[in-house]
Amino acid sequence: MMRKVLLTVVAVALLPIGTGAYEIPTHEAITQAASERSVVDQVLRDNLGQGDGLGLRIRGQRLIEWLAQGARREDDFPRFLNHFHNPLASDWSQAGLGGSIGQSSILWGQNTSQSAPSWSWQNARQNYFEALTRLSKPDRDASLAKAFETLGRQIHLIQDAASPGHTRNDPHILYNYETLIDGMRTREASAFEGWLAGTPDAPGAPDLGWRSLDSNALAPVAVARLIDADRYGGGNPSVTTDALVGLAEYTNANFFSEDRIFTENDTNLQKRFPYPNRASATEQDFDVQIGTATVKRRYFVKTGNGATGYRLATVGVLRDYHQRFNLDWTRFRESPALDEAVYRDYAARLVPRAVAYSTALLDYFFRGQVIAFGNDVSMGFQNLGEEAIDGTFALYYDDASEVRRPVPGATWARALAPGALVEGLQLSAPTSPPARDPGKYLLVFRGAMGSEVDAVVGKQVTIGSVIFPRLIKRKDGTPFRGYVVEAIDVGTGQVLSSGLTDEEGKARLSWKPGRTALFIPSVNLFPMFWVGGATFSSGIEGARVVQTTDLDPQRHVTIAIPVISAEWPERIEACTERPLFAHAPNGFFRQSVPVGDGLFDFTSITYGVNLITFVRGDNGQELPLCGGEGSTGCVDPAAGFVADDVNRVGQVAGQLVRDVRSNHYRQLIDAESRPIGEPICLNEYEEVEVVPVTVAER
Amino acid sequence: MTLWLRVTAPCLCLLVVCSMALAQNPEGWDRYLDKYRGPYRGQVVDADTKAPLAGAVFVALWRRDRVYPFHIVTENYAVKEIATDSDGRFLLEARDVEEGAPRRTRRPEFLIFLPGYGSFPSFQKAPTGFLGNVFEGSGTTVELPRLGGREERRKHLLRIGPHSFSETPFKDLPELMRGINQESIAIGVSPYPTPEKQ
Repeated sequence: MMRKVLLTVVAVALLPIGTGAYEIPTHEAITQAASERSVVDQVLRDNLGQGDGLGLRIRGQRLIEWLAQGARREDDFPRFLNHFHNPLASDWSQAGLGGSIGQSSILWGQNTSQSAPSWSWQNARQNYFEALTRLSKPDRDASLAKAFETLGRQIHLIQDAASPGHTRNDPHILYNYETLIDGMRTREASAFEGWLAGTPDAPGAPDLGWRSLDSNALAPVAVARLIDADRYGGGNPSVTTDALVGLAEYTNANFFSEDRIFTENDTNLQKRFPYPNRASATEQDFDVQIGTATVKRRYFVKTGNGATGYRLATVGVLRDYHQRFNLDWTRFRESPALDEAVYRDYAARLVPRAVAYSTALLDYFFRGQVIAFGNDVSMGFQNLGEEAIDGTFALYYDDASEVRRPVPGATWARALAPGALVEGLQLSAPTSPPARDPGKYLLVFRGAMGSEVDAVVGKQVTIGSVIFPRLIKRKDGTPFRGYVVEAIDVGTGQVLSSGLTDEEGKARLSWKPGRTALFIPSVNLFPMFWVGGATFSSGIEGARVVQTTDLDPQRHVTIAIPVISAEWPERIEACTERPLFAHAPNGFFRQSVPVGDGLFDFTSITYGVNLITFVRGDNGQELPLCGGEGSTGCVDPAAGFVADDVNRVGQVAGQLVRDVRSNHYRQLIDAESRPIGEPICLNEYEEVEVVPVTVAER
Repeated sequence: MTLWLRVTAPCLCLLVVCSMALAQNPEGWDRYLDKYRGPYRGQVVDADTKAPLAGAVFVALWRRDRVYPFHIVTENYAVKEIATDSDGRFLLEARDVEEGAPRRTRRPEFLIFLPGYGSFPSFQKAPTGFLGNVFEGSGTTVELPRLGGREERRKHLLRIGPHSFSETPFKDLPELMRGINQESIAIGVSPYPTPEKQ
């Protein structure tokens, strides 16, 4: 045990610097490029309703900055010791730095006991789940920031697999590949940006088949395959040019690191890497700029055994010397090296892959796609992803204080093949406390997705709620058929839905529990908002906000409506025994009653209106009913009623102010309509009278 | 104590010491400040019209490599900013930073940001190529391109991470934060809240 500890101390001491692979700002830049290219931004906006996407600000930083922070902090001491992976190790447990001084980056990425807190893939999932479901918004925000920081750390491990030293067990020191890359970031930004963007020759994106390769029990989450797909076994370097290959395999087989150059025959197994080897390269001269001078420099150019077409290393100067003088080459140790030109060629192939594989990890994390549809009477959800899912679906909602709560009874365990759906589920829209935005929910899935046993998917959904207002006549229960009923949002005044009543008096309406009023525009002559029971209001302010407690088990809400009319007393003219006045601008009445001997008692009345006005008793509002030139008819005084008058049946609601006239004539006539004798009466009336109007129910 | 420990342990300790000494000398490229290289100066113009751009923020960030036993940490050492004048010109005096800078302080990185424009060092039309010392001496003219629609501006804005420059950007880089928030509001993205509002 003591021996192992000491060896570890020494090994650590021998890694003084540079084991951080890409330098921290480079990691940040690669992470940023990957996040821009991935679906993350779209998922945040489309699935979670976060309009700012990666620009969403949490605790002073945007999400993209949390991602970058993770990529930055993953290099903290001593975490970087676990950022190596040798794809040729016999076992992933022996694939870390020095075999097992540090853990393989693959195992490290899925190690839930890294530290406290841990930043493994599984922790990213848990953080994301908590970001979707924790009660308070600050807690959810903290979890979302943590999820993104964890993902930043995860893609840091991916990026390290695109650094040769990290795949060839080479803790390097001093100037190295990463130094060059970071220098380019600041000093030749255009070249660096070009690497980030990738090129047609080096697009770098992995074949999606990596997601379904057999899992390794030591690191079962499929993202392990982004680093090591177990396709390159040390003897088949050509496979590393396939798109279906782990990034560490590609890097290991095709590039040198500072202290692992042509080590195919090294006696130290920790240093021995079969490729690239001497047979992988041919020598070629290149012009190189040194200061202001251009000189020739000889390079090993990669021409076989996997990727080709770039400078692999410089040819050591002693090689020329001993070839020229035919010396015993075994007496000279040539020293091929990696110069800036070599590093540039490496970067043009490795940086695009670092971005692409990082993007692949982010896309994998956010790959789940579920939707919900329907309404609370009959709803369902569907798996729109490309993998089968098997787990728990649950709906959550936010109350007015942004506290996120599970919807009671809205949790379902289901297994769904790709494209499969579940229908016919019922939902009780939450009312205690009510939703801040009724109908808006967060559908959260947690469970197996493809080969991943604990995936998490979130999707903001709208699940409409429906009710069935039933309108009946209060007096006899007769249903009102063919009448319009509307659901109105009490917050905005907008019409949520509108429907016509059927033969049973029922209409089907979408509504928002706790935010909806019912509006009945035309059962009476005046529009009405339902207040509850058989009472009504003319304004939405007084309307009842419909609650689920107003509904019966069939989601009906029965509204008994009094049909209202106006009543007022009429005087009877003494001679004709007919109403003294009428609401008829040019009205008349004719009647002949036989009285014997061929005679008739003839009555003729003409009515006229100068002006009739209905004046409301409560506010003095006047409604002209008829009168004036060309007036042919009168408006019913009930048109001057308001919905509130429905509650005042039998009470006086106002008065008619009538400037009216009439002519009452009564005469005996014979069969040829000839007058017999003097008229019984011929009375003319014209006066302004005030008549009280009472609310009546028909 | 076994023979192995008696012989090996001192050797190992010696190795540790040696490796620490090795770690004291990481310089390899000319990334580190060797002398005072400021002041940093230049002019910012519109890439199309060549008109000077006033109010663009020029930011210089000095990073520093700190060597610890077993590890090296790159951290921000200092950051300064200055806005361009009505002629689009800026002059950033940095003697206070660079003359007192500790060993392994890197030569500065630069950012030039102006709402509505692509920023330096990734989006400018000029200068291109090697940018290592373009603001030293007589400086250079930076041509910034005007950005197009909202989505292009939003994606560009996401690349400007002020917390990479400073953990307290409102304190250290008020002009940059003002510009970022102005751009955020212009394109409908939530601005950074000032520290007192957080």
